[in-house]
Amino acid sequence: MNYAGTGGPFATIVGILIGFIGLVGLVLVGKRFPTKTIIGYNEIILGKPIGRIMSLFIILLFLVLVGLETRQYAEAIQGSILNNTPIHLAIVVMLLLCVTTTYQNVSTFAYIHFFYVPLILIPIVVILVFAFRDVEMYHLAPFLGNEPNFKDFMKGALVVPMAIANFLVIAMVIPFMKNPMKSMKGASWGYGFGALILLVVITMTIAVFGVEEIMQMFWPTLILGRMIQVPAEILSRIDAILLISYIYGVFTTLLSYYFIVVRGICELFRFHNYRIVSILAAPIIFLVAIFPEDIFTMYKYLLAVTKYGMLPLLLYPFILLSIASIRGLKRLPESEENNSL
Amino acid sequence: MKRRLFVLGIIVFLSGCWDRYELEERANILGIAIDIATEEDMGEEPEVTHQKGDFPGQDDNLIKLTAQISLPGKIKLGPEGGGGEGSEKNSWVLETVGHSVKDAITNLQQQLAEKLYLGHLQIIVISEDVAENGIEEINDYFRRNPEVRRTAWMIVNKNDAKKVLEAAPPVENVPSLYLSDTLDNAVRFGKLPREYLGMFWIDLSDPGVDATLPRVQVINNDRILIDGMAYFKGNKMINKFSPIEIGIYMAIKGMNPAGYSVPVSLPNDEGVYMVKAVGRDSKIKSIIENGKPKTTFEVNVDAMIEEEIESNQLDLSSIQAIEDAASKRVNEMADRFIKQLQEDQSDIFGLGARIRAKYPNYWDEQVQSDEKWADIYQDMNIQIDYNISIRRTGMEWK
Repeated sequence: MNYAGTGGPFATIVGILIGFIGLVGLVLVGKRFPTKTIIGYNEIILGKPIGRIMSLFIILLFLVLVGLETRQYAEAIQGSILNNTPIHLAIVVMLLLCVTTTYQNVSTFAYIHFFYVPLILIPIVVILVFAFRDVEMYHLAPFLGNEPNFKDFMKGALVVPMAIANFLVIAMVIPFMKNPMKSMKGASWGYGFGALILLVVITMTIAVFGVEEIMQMFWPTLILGRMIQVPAEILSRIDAILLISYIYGVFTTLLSYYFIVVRGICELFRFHNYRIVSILAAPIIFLVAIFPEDIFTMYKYLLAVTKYGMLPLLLYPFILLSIASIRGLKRLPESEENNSL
Repeated sequence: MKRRLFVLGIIVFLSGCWDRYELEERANILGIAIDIATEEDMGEEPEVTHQKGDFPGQDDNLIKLTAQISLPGKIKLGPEGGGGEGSEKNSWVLETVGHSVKDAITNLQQQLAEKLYLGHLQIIVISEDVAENGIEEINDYFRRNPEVRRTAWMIVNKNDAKKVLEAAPPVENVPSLYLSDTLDNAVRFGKLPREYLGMFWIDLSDPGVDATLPRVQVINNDRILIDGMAYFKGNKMINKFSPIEIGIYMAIKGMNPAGYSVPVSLPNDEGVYMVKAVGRDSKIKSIIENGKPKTTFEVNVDAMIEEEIESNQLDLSSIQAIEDAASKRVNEMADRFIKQLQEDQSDIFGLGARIRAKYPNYWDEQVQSDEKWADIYQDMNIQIDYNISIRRTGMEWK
């Protein structure tokens, strides 16, 4: 957003499309191997040694991402409400929550997400509705931004897939779906919905604040929550509610990443004790989370991870797909699969 | 399992909360007034953040900060006392000096047993001198602090900002609450745009928009009069306009509800009619003509007649005559108002932002910055077409 200026909403759309391409790739590969997760078909397509190294990279990437995202969340919490609470505590509590939920089975994982969706969405919708009267149209135009510059614009757009990167969890859950062949439909709907919300939130935030003002803030949407006045003055500050829904949102995101890490490690090392893995992963993630010295360093790392980790990952399924078709690989016969487990 | 639950219970129930501050341990700042400190004031500066004469940077932002704090449970609130005691005893007005807002707040904290809390801050008063010196340095602390609400008010006082906080209305327990209610309700009556802190900051940072702040005057030491608005060029206050011009300002921006009245008289007639606006609608058309920006305001105001003095002759034809006369009168006022704004290079209607939004190429090539825009704005062609329609005249037929 900082790069694209008033072109923010358009950059978001472009970013969403880029993310969608990655999603399509993942689902296509997943459908080719409907009984395998990304770790499984990595090995089949690339061969054991290379496949395992790639899997390890992916797991490491998400491990770092969980850590940094947790830190980001903790910074937001400390910066806005809990000024005196040590930041470690916010991190530890969030990680504990993730640890205790990630070793559950996949359907529990799905239900947790399902349960939190309304809790995340309702406050956001409420805030957006009340923010409408403060919208200034001139904050949104011109659509492409002043002095459009392709490089900066793409820089802005490429941050977006990162914001909704938890769709990547689809790579780990396809084998657990009732009907993996229908995964494309479900994935598109889910992604489309999440992307729409993101687009609306970004657009509204820019529409209310304008670009110059947003560039001075760390968390514009949170501040948007602080500016809203609910008619009849039932609540004088609704930012607390927004913050709670933000916590739910962070929790489900972290849960997805953590889930990828735990399941990935287990599958990679053929060690199916999720509980031990998820407990052992926690201290490592904690160390990652407290590694950045300050909030600016943290964002530097986060952007670096996005740039060098997430973006290649969006292309990765297509590489897999083309190698798979060159090698003529299809789904393995049932018997062989059982052996490889 | 039982033991686990027990351990969990201990963790949850016996641990404390780091950010716990009981209400009684907090000193709620309800209002802050910022004045420029004189040499004399600075003489009593405590050495809390730095030693005397050791403040780094340019040493020209000396401020005198006055805070009105309420201490729940310590200063008695509620109806008591009798005998017209007023509200001055219910809150505590403290004064301190500093080189910046945070410096002054630190000095203030050093004098108090309770933790200062800005979450209930209702009103920030700055004196005209402070506003004219530039407001950026003052805003920074309030923007950074997560406790400050963006729905608080920032207002400019004619002379001493401190006087506003000292005004003690006899009807409300806490003076600052009364003052902020005065402003909030003025918004409801259509007398003031919703230009509270958050909005003010947005206007301040937008390219091609200049900000405004409500301006007040203390009356009889116990209340405030909303005395028009102060307008800015960049982050410096440059001039002010009167309350009736707030009406014009809001009409041009199409803000509802409407609430200002104008007296109108007809030629060859002694009667004076008070015409009150009830609804406003406005179209702002910005175009580039021959490489120059041009803006037309089309303002339509619905109004009613609330009073008729020294005359008794309302009918269809005279209503139309009054509409014309009122439109003409307001048009003239608006013209003068806009001329003044252009002269001061203050673009409070956001015409620059509209041009930037609609003609990005023009903006990128010819304007680019606020300073350049101010020059273009000064000589810009601005037309105003103000049209008043009288809809009703109250309970009297004639």
